[in-house]
Amino acid sequence: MCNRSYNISIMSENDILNVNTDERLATLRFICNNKSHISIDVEKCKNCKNKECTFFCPADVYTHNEKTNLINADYENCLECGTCRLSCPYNAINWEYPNDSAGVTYKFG
Amino acid sequence: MEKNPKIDVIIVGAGPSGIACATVAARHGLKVLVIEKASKFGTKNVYGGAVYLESIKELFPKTYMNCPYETFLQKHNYVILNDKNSISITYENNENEKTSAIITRFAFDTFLANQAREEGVYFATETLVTSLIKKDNKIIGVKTETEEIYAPVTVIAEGFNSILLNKANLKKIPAPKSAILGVKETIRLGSDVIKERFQLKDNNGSMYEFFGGLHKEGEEPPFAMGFLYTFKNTVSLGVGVSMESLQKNKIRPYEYLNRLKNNEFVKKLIEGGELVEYSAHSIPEGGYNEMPELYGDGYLIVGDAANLVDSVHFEGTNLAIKSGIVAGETIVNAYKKKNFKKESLKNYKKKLYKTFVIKDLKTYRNVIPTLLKRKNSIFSYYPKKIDEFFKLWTTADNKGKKQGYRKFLLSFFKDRNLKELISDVISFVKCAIEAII
Repeated sequence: MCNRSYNISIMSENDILNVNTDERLATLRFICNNKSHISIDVEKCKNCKNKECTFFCPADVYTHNEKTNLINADYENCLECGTCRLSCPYNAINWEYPNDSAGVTYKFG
Repeated sequence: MEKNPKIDVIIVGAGPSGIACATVAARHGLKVLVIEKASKFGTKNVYGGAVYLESIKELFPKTYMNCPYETFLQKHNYVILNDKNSISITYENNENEKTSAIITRFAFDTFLANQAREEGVYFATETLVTSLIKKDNKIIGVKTETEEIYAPVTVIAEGFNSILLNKANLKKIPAPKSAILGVKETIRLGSDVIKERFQLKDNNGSMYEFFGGLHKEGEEPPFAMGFLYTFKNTVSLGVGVSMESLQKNKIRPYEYLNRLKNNEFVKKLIEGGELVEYSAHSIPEGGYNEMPELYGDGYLIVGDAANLVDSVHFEGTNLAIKSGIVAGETIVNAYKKKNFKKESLKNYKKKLYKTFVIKDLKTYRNVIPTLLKRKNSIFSYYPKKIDEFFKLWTTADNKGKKQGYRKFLLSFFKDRNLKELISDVISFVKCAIEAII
């Protein structure tokens, strides 16, 4: 399901030095897709101690649920940089471009 | 377009390399289809901000100045950042030569595509190629979400995130050390503020390269560099970080960007600005040593997909365009001979090796691997030493200069073991010699 909600405060003048991920993502237009373009091989994640994916993604797409020990992917926020394809040490992330012309759109790039 | 037109060349990706190739082929009467996943040109592409006019001129000699460039680069600033202090060099070119320009990817890619369209190139946007079609080890076309399209030649211009090439086993998935993640913020300051703050007149622009200043005491310095480009109303500020550093250091990419933004030197350049866009993109860093085979039966690889980025000079679009032009010429010749096999398409590689594209990549083939190995020296130790030197040079401590110099020189050997020092010297000299000879 597509549910993107952000907690954005109105930016004051000096906030440019201190923006958070939600504010960053709120600058972008995303076309939503009901199907995830990211799939995770959870079996491989079981061997992973460091959960690098929760650090290297520029949009915090990957979060680790301590209770279930599973990695969740908020694919709707994906910036399509491909870092996870190359950087997951266990090669557990299968990443494709979103279909149906969905995903991120940059105005400036 | 007709319902089932016979297509001579399929090009995957409407970036600079794909469009350049398409234009050259269409100019010679070939029917070229460029397939692009984005709905509007350039809206899935990201870069720092500057293009080199010589390459655009080669592709569109009559119209290249009609491109809506925002500013033309007049100032190049190289800044070494330490925690609080900084050292900078500015090269200001006042000869009014227009050699490179700053423009958004949306505007640049759209300009290129419109030019190409006028020369007869067909575009299919909002179309995602999901795989290459292989038959008897030959690429015979592409599969999109809805149909299969066939042509004697397919040009892969899909960018560094090379899903299609990886799937078809035509390129290895790069290791994290061979890839950079660029994260960038576009910050609106308004043209008056930009002109005043960066001391610019008319349509002049300025760019900065930042070394160091991204790690805290006790942390491993990342293999990373910062950059800033001045557009008309906005500046783009970003960091390129090696994926290896991201993986090992467990520091988020935007945390490095935050540190850059809050460095005393950078802070005053962007203060009061408004964030208008955040973006991220990966950049090839493997260079010459990790180029895939550039051709095969029925296909050619151009641009970032082929690793054609000169990361020493931050050049990419010009290499992309040149590779596209050479690929286009090769295809035109292949059509004359009606031969699309390896032996015919290998002329692309042959010709490209004679251009600046491969020559430059070869020149710098060992620079990045060397810098990666010596990253502690270049991003941490030497910036600190240079800072110490300038502190000494600019401070009057009432003790006499000679004593200070002696202490400084001695500290070179005390703060760092001799083996490391010699290692640094040997690696840097080796790189320099390779670059010249």
